Amino acid sequence: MRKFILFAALPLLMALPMAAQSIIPGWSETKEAHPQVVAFLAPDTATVTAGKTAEIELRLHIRDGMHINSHSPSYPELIPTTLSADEGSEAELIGTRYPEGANLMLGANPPENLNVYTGDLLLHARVRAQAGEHLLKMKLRYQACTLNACMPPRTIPLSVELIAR
Amino acid sequence: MKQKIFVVLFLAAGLVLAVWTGWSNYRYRQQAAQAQARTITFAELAPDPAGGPPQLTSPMAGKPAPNFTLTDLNGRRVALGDLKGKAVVLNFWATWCAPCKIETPWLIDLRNQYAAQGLEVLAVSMDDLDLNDKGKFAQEQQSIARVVAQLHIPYPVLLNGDSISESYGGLDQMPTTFFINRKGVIVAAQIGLSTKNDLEMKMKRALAN
Repeated sequence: MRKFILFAALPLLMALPMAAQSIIPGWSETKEAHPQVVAFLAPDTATVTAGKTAEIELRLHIRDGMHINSHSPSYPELIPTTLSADEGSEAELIGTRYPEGANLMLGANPPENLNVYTGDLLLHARVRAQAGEHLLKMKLRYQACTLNACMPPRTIPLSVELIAR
Repeated sequence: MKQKIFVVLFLAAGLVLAVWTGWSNYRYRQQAAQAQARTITFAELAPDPAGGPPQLTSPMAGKPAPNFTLTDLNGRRVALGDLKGKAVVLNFWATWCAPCKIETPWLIDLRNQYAAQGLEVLAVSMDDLDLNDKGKFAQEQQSIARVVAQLHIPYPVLLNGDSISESYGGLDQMPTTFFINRKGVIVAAQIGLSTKNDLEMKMKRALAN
């Protein structure tokens, strides 16, 4: 009987990752005139110690087939990915820890060596809030490209509900 | 008996979930494809006259090139209309665009090769400019000039491309290049990085008409 239950549960277990993959909340804004290249996935809320600096992990995803410059791009004229505080934020964004980018070589004679983010992106935001619930408003500036073309720089809002205790 | 009913229900739930996730996945991919297509709303596939695969081009192809007057890096005003009688390659680019940097040496080579036949290249910078702040504007202009010097661009580099972007169909991908014949008609367009051969073929088309 147990074996039978296990066998019965198999399609359910197989379906769960597919279900998770099919619901990507950050992509909800794809209906805008220009599709979003970077989606903010999580968290919606975070609990921190009141009055103390805490680090929260922001999970983002970059659309397949595209890359954005890292926070430390290879050339000064390339636009770095930056997270900053947005107007009206009820909590402080003190700083951000950015991951290292991956090297991407484009073209030849001579190649363009780029330092980029692709796929999943984790940013560590150092935040501070007084006791209570506060909306931390931030904005992410990035400039995205495919291997053949680049889109103008964009800025998207990100917000996290901070519960400070 | 109850256990069997439970297992059957469990199986049915699993199957329903699998079908639902499959359908959701299909819809998500469809939406993603539609969103991707929206980035190139101003572009369309056009048959290649040379018999090759269809090319991504602009609906501006076949239409008169909208006239404009812009200022170049040296402060000189350049009007497209002043170049009538010449074939013009209008290359929209930006300093933050790596594919543009790959393409630029090809444009320089081809311009040097075909200038004697009446070909002119105009680069139009899509870099943001702070037109209301003289200090910032000067800095932004300097950084464009620095890249232009690094790339050894010999042709005019015009500023404030944003101001003419709409008249050229709305430009959301760099590089975008229009090939304008001697009569001022856009005979070909290229969105994104192509090849040197492809650029040359389109330049020849502009020179031929």
